[in-house]
Amino acid sequence: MKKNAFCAVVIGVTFLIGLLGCSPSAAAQIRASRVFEGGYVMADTSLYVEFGASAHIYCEKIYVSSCTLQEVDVEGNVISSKALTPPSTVAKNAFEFTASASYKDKGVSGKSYQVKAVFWAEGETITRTSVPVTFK
Amino acid sequence: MNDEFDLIQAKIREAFDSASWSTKTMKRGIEALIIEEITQTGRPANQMLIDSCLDLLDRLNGQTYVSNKEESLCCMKTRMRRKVRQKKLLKTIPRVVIASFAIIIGSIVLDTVIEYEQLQGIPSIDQQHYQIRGHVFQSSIISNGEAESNNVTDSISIIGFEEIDEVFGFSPVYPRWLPEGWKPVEFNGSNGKLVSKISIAYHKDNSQSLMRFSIAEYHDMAIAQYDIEQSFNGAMHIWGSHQVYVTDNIDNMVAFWSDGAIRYTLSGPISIDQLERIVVSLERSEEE
Repeated sequence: MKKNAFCAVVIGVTFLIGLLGCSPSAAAQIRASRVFEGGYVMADTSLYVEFGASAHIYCEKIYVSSCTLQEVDVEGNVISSKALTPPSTVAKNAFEFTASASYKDKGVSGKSYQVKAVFWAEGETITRTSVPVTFK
Repeated sequence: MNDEFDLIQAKIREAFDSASWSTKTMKRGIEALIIEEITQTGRPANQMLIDSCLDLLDRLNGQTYVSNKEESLCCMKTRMRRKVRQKKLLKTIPRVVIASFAIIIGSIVLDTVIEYEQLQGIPSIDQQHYQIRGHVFQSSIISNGEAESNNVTDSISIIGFEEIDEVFGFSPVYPRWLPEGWKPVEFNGSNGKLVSKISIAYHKDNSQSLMRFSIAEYHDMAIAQYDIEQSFNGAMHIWGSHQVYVTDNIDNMVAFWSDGAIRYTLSGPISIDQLERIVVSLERSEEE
């Protein structure tokens, strides 16, 4: 009898641990956006960068809230990061956002960089990182 | 008598083996020998010799015998035929080489003018994004010179399709069929150095979400990018001539397809059947 009770407790605890373990990850997996359809950051070899985001709804404001220049190695690993001034463009009552900026004074010739940007709209954010390029 | 017979037979066999006589001479000789043997009156005909000669004639008629002369003639004919073939081949080779060269040069020229261009998407590991990337290409809709002179990305709101034509210099394809209640409310265009895009927003009463149709042309496919938000991985569908990736982003369906360096995106709170019907209607407008 005691053995059965012990087994039931073990099963119950295991089940609870399983629930606790799974729930946050399941919640974390569903991260799609009610606001954004998608976005991009494209940087060329002179570190001229274009930012873009599209929304499913009219947004009061869409803008780039933060921008980072990341130096990467040949395997794409980030070696170092430094904050960049995001473009000042703010799209108002819009469903499209487009902006550009030049960061050519931030690069060192021959090194590879990617630009990471966080877009903000209606309290939601999405992050996009450009394809790495070798600065010329 | 037997010695004489043996000698004649040996001579004939030697001639046969060495193939020193022509077939005709051999036949004539053997026939003459048979006739002489039959018609001679000094002694009874040597039947063994006659049989042996007839056997040789049979072998000659069966064409197992080929004289040296005939063989050399045959070889000469073969060589002549080979030479004729070689001459023909020598005449053909330069033509083939020239044609191949022209094809290669043509391909190179086409490559430099057109180049292969493709946008491809893959789901992210966490399934939350559909990541679209480009492969090297050359721009066609908006010339590089025009695009490069415009380093700053201008975003403008456009009133209608006529204005798109005026601003961008081309008339884009657009949905010819819309689900009931949806109407175009805004056109938006931007012309950047790296990407140019046009978006049309459609609105329906009682719907907070817009239906959006976007066309983007990438001017540098090596760095082309667009990541779509999605709830889970979608699926590929063949709609008309397009291979369309369809996914959902909470309440909105999203469709993406590409044509070279041009990305098409259609999204909104509509059903997959309605998405399909819109995509097919776009194809109709392409044909027109």
